Amino acid sequence: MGGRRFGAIFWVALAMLAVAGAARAEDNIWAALVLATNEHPAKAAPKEIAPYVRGLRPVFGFNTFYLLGEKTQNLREGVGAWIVPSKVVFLKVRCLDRDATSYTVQLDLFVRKKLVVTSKVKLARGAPLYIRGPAWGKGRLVFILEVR
Amino acid sequence: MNNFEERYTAWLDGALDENERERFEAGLPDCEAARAEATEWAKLRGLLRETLVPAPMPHADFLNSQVLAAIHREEPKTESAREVVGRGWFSAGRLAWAGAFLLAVAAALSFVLVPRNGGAPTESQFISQVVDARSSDPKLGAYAFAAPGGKGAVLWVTDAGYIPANERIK
Repeated sequence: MGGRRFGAIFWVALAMLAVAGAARAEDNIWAALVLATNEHPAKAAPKEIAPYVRGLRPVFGFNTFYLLGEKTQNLREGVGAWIVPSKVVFLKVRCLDRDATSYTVQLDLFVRKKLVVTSKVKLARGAPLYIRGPAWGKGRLVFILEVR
Repeated sequence: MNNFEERYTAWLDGALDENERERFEAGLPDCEAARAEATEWAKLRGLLRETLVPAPMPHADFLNSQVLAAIHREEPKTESAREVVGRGWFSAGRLAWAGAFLLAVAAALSFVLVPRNGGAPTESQFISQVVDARSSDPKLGAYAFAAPGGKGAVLWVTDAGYIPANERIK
């Protein structure tokens, strides 16, 4: 009876460790391509990017934000991934390292298949990165990246 | 009592009532010899009763203590039998190996998952930071600063290009 109890505890503990490891390996990076413009009156942002508007407005000086595309990509160390919410601008993300609270990634921003900028960024969970992209019409394209 | 042996045994023991006894004795071929045998049997029975009376036990407490001691001597054997029964998949040895294996798995997982710089996370670990930014095009520039609120970061790319409004982005 006691042996069976110990055995059950052992297998449950092992399963919990496995689940914890799997859960830790399933962090994702969420990327959104946003068109920032000035409109009168200003329009409300879609719910996907509404939490970021407070940060976007003062930095980029626009009052209206449209979500053009978004993608969620699994983050695995050493694995590169294309985040392509648009045919014109897209990002290549490669996870270089990770610790308990953040990921270090290499970002390559392409505009019309031309590499515009290469950057090494430490992305903390829940702390977004805003990338100022090319101008589009009277507005500006902005990338939002966040580890979730 | 249908057969003769049963009735004869009952007659010897004096277990027949008056009518049965008279009827049985009337049916005997030699009643006198039978009565003599019954008398001998009665004597023998009395002698056996006198001889086989259990003798009073002189030291009953001593015997009880001996019996209890014997029971106590038997108990360790019972315990070892239990151990033999418990020696299955989850015996003490195997549990010890399982515990060691579990510790090894936990150590391996913690090595992989726990931050290698150790210690409690500092405030800066919860902030996104642009470590480096560069462009192969000298016309382009890139610099970084903290986003409002303090946690996020902004990568500011200058002259990243212009896309006409009539060009489809999506």
